[in-house]
Amino acid sequence: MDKNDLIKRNNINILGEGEQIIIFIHGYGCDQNMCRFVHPHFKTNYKIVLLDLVGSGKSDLSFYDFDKYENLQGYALDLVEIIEAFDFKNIILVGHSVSAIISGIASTIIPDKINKLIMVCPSPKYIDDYNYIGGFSQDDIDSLIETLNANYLGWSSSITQVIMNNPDKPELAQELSESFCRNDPKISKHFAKVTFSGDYRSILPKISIPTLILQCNSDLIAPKEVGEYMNNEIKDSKLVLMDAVGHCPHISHPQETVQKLENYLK
Amino acid sequence: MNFVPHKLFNILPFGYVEANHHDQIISINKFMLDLIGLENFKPELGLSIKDFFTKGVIVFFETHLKPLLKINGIIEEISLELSRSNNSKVPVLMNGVVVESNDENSNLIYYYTFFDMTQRKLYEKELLISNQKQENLINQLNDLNKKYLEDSNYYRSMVENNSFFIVKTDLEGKYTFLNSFFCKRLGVKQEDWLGKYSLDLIISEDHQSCMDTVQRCLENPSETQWVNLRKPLSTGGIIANQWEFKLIVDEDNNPKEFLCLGHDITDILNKQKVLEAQVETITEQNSRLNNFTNIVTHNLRNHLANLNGIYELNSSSSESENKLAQSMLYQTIHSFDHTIRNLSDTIEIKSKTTLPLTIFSLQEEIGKVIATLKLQLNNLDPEINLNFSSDQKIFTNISYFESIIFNLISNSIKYRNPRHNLVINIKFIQDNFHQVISVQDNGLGIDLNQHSKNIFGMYKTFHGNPDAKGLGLFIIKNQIEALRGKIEVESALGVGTIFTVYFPNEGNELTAIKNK
Repeated sequence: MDKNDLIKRNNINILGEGEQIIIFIHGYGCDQNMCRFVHPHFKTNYKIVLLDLVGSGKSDLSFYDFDKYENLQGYALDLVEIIEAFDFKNIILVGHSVSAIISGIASTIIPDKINKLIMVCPSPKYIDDYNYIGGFSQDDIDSLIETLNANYLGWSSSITQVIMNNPDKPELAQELSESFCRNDPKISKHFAKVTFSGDYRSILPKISIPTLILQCNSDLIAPKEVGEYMNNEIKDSKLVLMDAVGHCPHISHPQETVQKLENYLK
Repeated sequence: MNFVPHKLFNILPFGYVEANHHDQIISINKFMLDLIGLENFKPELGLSIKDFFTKGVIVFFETHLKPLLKINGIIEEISLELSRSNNSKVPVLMNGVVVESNDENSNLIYYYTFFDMTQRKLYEKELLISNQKQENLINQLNDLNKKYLEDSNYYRSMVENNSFFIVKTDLEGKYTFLNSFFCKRLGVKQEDWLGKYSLDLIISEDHQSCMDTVQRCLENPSETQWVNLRKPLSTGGIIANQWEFKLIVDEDNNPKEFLCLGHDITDILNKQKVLEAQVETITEQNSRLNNFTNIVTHNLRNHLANLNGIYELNSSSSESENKLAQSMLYQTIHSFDHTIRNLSDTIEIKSKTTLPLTIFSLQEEIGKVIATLKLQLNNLDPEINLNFSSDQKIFTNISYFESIIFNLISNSIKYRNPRHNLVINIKFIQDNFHQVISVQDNGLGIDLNQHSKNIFGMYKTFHGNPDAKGLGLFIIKNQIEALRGKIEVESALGVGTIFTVYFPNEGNELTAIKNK
């Protein structure tokens, strides 16, 4: 696939005036708009790359292959494909939640192209296991799926039409409110299952890139024990605790998030 | 943090919660406390709104609802389950808005309302279940439909694409199905014949055997009945089909309809006819060949015996006997030669397949023949009547014609009745198919009861006449047949004989000119 195909597939947006590549990848739930309170702070010194995972946001849903995305490797391969097509080098890869793991997997495939990994609220496995606390049981995952079933958040094919047919619509704010976090329920459920049922602990020791792990205060999705586990497993990692509560500090506490990123990148 | 036990606030018919940007509850109404099973609320406990949520809902809240509130400022009609203090669950519909606080930090304050939807959830569940059932049913139907289409396409292509006739009729014999091969072969349209009587597509001579077969089917429902039927083609002509009839019964074993499978046997029957004709020809040729062989051996042996006798006579060395022997030898050689020439003529006729045909004057040619026979007519004064106009022409092979007339008149002379004067009547008539010459005499006649079978055989004589060589009729029959004509004989002992020769009348003027 050439660059234009990839831009369409992953709704890639490149901004900023700098040279240093920084890629922000959203986690499970919504799309690249999750980073909109954070990335503007990097626009002077960085070349900012934003993208939507296939199946999320304004990615091309026709590429959603249930077999390919049955595990996170599928997404990691997309990321590698993009990096190689655009010939990005010395990359700073910022991944939130599930995309922290996707970034980690990609870094094991093309370690020479990635300078730094920043993992925001990551977890390699959500379900508790022998000697491992993920914080979730299978029932929790089921109750998530049930909640997703009960809430399409106004998603409908007519809305999708609007999104798909007006990619360059100027009234971004309105469009955003119409489209934000509205994902195809079938894909959203599949992504939830893949995200929350997976076990990617074995990837962690293979990560050789310097890694920052941002751990939120009282994050029920990626609890402190998980952050510590990640920090132990990844060779060259640094665990930083945030004051921010919850699982999306870039949404709830963008200033602190920016500050923590800048501190690390200094 | 402030908790205002306002009267209205507490009697609202839905839960009301105010939380800060850390999701900590600032205020909560009584309805909400009752809903989640808390007796009272102490702000210093630091309850979080997430404490009301199950783990799955927390993920949804963090990954969807909080971002939505942050970006859009509002969430509406979110269906959730809240955990009650006794670990039971209560389904609610949640709405939320976010506003900036009036304090100096401009912190965000989140307002949520929760509607108890226990009753509604029951309906919803029922709806979901029936929806699911319906979806399953649709899937099953789709699967069945797909299977049915596959099957029906498969069988349809079998029925449509084979080279068998497949028709069905109701119990009255009206068509209910005709496959495309049948329609194509007969040149009919299915829509024209559905509901019409199948007998109308069978030639009337075969109606009875068709109905008999139907009767046999009704009497033996488990058996298949076979019948050959002929059907008229829309283009004219008739095709012969072999059919297999079977009665189809319903679940209660009552006759339902007839299934008839057939195939075209027209070609087979035609080939069979050709084969039969060929067998007949071969049998006849074989019998002629046998006849021929017998005569050859018999006749040559006769000549050999003669030669043997002459040789013995010659050895007596008397002058007069030598002379006699010489004369006899001459005669024998002559007749030997004649025999061989006749035999070779016969073979020639058989081997010729096409003969040159010309148009010529009947009277002229017959006149020539009579002139050649002058010697035999010596001392006789036969009355020869030519019953046709003097300019009558005939179209055939001239050599064969001469040979045929020569032999017939010569026969009349040979087998004349010594008691009265010979009368020969030669007639000519023609129609679209034949040119017919008949030669009638008042001679000895032939006993046809005795000789009709071998009258045209080789070396058959019926009268003990010394001139009879028994070859003439055999030769002319072969010649006539080579011309694709025929010869017939009528005769009565002591009355006379009529030979009638039919030459095919293919001789229109154009053909005649072409052949000239």
